[in-house]
Amino acid sequence: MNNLSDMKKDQPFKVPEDYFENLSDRISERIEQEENPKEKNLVQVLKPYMWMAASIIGFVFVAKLILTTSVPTDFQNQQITQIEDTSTVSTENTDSEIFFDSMSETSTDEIIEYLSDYDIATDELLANL
Amino acid sequence: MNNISDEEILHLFQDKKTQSQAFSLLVKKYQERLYWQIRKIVLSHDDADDVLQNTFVKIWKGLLNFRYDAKLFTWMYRIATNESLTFLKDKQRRNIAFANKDVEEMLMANLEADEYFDGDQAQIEFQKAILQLPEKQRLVFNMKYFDELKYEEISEILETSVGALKASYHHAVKKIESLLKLEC
Repeated sequence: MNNLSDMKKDQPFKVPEDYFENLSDRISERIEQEENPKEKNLVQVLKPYMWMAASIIGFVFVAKLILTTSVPTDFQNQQITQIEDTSTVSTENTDSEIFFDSMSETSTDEIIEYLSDYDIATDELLANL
Repeated sequence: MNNISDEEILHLFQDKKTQSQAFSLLVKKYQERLYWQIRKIVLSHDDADDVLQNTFVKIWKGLLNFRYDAKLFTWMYRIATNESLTFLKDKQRRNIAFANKDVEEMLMANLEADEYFDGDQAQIEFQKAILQLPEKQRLVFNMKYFDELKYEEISEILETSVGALKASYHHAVKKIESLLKLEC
């Protein structure tokens, strides 16, 4: 076989039986689908949004459940009491009048003794005035 | 029924009431010619079936705007050719196994796996040789050698000058003959 004239022009391709008999109907169906895509009903349209809302509600519920079950009630009450105490103390500490009153109860001898115990130089005291 | 003229079909297609009937007539008249044009490009039957359906959907959508500045069949043939080439490029892009290979390698693999191909060894070698042609030469060769279209018709379909088509066909024939000699 040296040139094209030796080749058979018959195509070695086949098609399934009755392929061309049914083709026109299949193409009509395909065009019908393209022209009139099935309308989605309301539930189908809202389905993704419903899933999203359900997920958020579920997440909030689970988070709340975890927080309430993992922290014991006694511990919570204790924490609240401590917070209340701290806030009271800090309020008292910031009251300058009470601060100086408590200072006035300390005698001069006690202050001298305290300073000598800690060996604080007079220069350092003056520098921090 | 296939004797109905293109003008009559187009006339029927203009009327909403007879549009579906007209299109059915058009499909029946041209389905085989378009199928074989597509099949020679994509080679496997399943792919040809997909492309043929896509082609007729495109024809349906464009038929109302069809103007007589080209023959109806030439216009449909051009759509079929473009759809086939686009299909092959998409298929190669989607197919990981052939991502870094030529379309021709993918086509040969498709052909060998196709249950609707029953060529003997000589015909397989012939198809291999055709697949080694550049895309444009392959199209020209198929249209001229198998479909026996006139250069003027091929020129309308591929929008290429007759002179360039003659040169393409000449090169294609020489290359195929040389490949077939090598195979012998």
